[in-house]
Amino acid sequence: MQKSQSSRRDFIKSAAMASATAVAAGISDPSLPILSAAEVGDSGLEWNKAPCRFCGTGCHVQVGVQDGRVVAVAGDKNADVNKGLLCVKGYHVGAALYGEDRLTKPLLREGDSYVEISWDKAINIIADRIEGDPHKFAIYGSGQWTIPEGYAAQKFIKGGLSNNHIDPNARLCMASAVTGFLATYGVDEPAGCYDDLDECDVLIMWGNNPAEMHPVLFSRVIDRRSRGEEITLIDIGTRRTRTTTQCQHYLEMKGHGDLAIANGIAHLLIKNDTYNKEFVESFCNFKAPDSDNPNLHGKGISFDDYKVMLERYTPEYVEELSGVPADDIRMLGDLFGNPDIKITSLWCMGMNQHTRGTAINTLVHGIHLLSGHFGTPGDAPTSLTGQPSACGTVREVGTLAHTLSGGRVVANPEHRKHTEEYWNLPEGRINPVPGYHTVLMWEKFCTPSDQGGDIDTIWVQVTNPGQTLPNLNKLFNGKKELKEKFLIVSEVYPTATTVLADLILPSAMWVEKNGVFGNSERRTQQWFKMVDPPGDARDDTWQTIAVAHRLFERGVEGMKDKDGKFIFEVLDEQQKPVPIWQWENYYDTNVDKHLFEEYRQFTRLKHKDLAPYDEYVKERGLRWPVVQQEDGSWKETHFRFSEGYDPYVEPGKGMQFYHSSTKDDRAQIWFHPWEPPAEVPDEEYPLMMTTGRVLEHWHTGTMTRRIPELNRAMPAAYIEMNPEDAAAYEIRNGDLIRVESRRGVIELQAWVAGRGKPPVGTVFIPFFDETILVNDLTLDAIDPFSKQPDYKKCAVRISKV
Amino acid sequence: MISGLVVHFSEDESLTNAALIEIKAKANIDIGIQSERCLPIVVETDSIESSHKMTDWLFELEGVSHVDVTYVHLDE
Repeated sequence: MQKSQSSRRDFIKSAAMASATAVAAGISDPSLPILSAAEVGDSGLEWNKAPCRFCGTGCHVQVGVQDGRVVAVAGDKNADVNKGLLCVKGYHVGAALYGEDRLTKPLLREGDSYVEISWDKAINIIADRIEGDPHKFAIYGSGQWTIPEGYAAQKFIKGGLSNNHIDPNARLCMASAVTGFLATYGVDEPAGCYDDLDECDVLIMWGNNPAEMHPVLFSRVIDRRSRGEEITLIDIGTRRTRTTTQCQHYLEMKGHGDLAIANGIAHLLIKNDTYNKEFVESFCNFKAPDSDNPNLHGKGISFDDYKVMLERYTPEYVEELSGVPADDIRMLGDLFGNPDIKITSLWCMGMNQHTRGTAINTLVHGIHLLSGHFGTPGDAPTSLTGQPSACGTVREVGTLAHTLSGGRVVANPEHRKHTEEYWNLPEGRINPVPGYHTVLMWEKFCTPSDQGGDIDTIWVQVTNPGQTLPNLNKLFNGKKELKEKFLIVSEVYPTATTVLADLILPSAMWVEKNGVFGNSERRTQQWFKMVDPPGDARDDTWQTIAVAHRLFERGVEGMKDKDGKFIFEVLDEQQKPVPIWQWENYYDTNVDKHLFEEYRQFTRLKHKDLAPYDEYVKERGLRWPVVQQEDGSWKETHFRFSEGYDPYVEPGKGMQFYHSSTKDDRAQIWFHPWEPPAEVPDEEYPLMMTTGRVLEHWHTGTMTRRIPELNRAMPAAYIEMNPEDAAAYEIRNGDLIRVESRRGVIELQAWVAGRGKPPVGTVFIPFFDETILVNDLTLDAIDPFSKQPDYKKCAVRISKV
Repeated sequence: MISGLVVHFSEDESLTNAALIEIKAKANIDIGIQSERCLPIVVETDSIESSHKMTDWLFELEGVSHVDVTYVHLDE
């Protein structure tokens, strides 16, 4: 026995060394798992691939299962994204399944407590609420939904209930990136991919902290340095972070300074005559906001108009607006004006959670287009996402309140017609009026029904709005007093949202179910169920289909297609319906595959073509458009719009923005003026507060706070302060501080000169801690086009308790 | 708890050598074959928390610019 344990330990150590050696040597070894067949036999582990459950990077891991339990995780060397690396969260992803308080039974509120109920009763309760008034029902989903989960939810509500009140939490994290891409290229999602990180000479991070938020992507860049390559890293931010320590240049800006900086770069490109004339004349138009008729596509302007608009954005004026020294603006102008280097821009929440989020997104695209730093590997403006399938499930499947699958929108009659045809629905089934976006949906839910609060039931899946919505006292806590409102939450653990839930449904998580994610670089990734969920926890897709079928049984017309068949009907090989609405039969077939194949039909319109499901089974993801070759194989696309890379660019075009909003194959270079944040410090509330994440915890900490080691490493939220501010308030590390905004108050400990270093006049509070809800303080002001709130800038005052 | 890590050394040779000496002195670290400035290692600890502390210690060595995680076995 002793010997057996010893050899098992030696085996694990040799596997660990093999994986580290392969990464250190840059070996691309096709054989993963890293164990030989004999070793697998000895170890008793069964290995399979899955994308990591956490962020939008989309790392692939190898998951080791023994006796029905995940016991090991390894970085997947076959994965292009992470090349065998893991971050500290990926390192623990397996343990996230095994928190002690997993939800295992449906729970119904009775007064201040809950009683266990059967699934059958839970399904009936939901069906009753929907039948009560289908148009007062809403679904609040997630960028953590798998693609089949999101697709099923949106087909159920938009195709089944003729109701568009569905919106995902991704509204809170990347809606402004979507509107930025649409306003610039006429179609959503990045043209480039992570390969740009391997090719660029200059990497500019705009309000982005990848060292902590997307660590594996940052490692790809640091690895290049370790191998002797030269790369210039520039951090443009509002506080020093772990990313800053690796950068040659740190440009500390005031909130909304990014608008001025981007305009300053464009000003210098024109002033110095270093913009790329050939690129601009061949491939670009110019746009500005239309103040008479505000809309996403603005109004066309001439190059001369554009020059005039930029005239005032001299480096000195930009310094005044942004706080960044004029010489640093000139440095950026010179870099963009240099055609011999390759520049990649990265951004995430800093540019998206911004009341001018659409504007700053278009401006950063614009300086890449104006300078011609676009369309070849290493020259790219690239937004990152915070969730594993914000792109796949929200942007591509179309789970926003105004969208349909494949880049379609509910307001477009042709798009509704396509969708009704694909779903075999009677004409006119889909409602042409967009549903409520996130902030409006929750505002309506928290408003009494007799005062215009016309959402009375929300079903939350795979997200935690009780912690993440801005201005929680207005948008979430108001529900507590409204007895006519009913909150349904499908979850894996108790959360700040389940606290107010009327019905809690236990869900399966990650490798407890089949899944497909779509990551930040257009990569679609598939995995299979590996272990059973605990107790009575069940897949979210099953939950949706079970409710739909209950309504079908009750004769609700919307649950029938135009031939009278159930809208989620799945046939077996004998063409007989498989009763997938019954849990015991759900895995008799691969429901994910059926839904994915149906969804795949939608993806051609906007050239976001997906391959058949089985192709993804073989791969560690493929980047769309994935186009079938003459030999029958399927080929992914690394760079869009660029001849030689993108199969949809016509020969001889060089660059072709084939979904251009101006229908001339050109991208739009925008001018937007600098505008101040929605709320700025004043005498009453003299400090600017910003929020964000920490390395140890992912988003609201519902998974990572169940991992004792991560929770011990970062047990509670804190207020991060500059030493000068701390001295002025006579605050020391560990002091309990009262933080107040116009919307709420919290108390938490001070951390002076901690991990991040905010400038004088700014404080930072992370949002992972459900016991200290920073979103009691934040502002619910939104970008006018994307409807995304700004979590990064609000005014607060502090005092010692 | 067994982890596979890759230590990235800084460009400063003397700092790198100093870091390497400190790493080699740890009884619970196995050293692999260095490739340019990247050193594969295996760390064995009695808990995940100790493993974290070891990773933090590596990060803090002056000659170390970065540490990547490549493998972790959860139940050892």
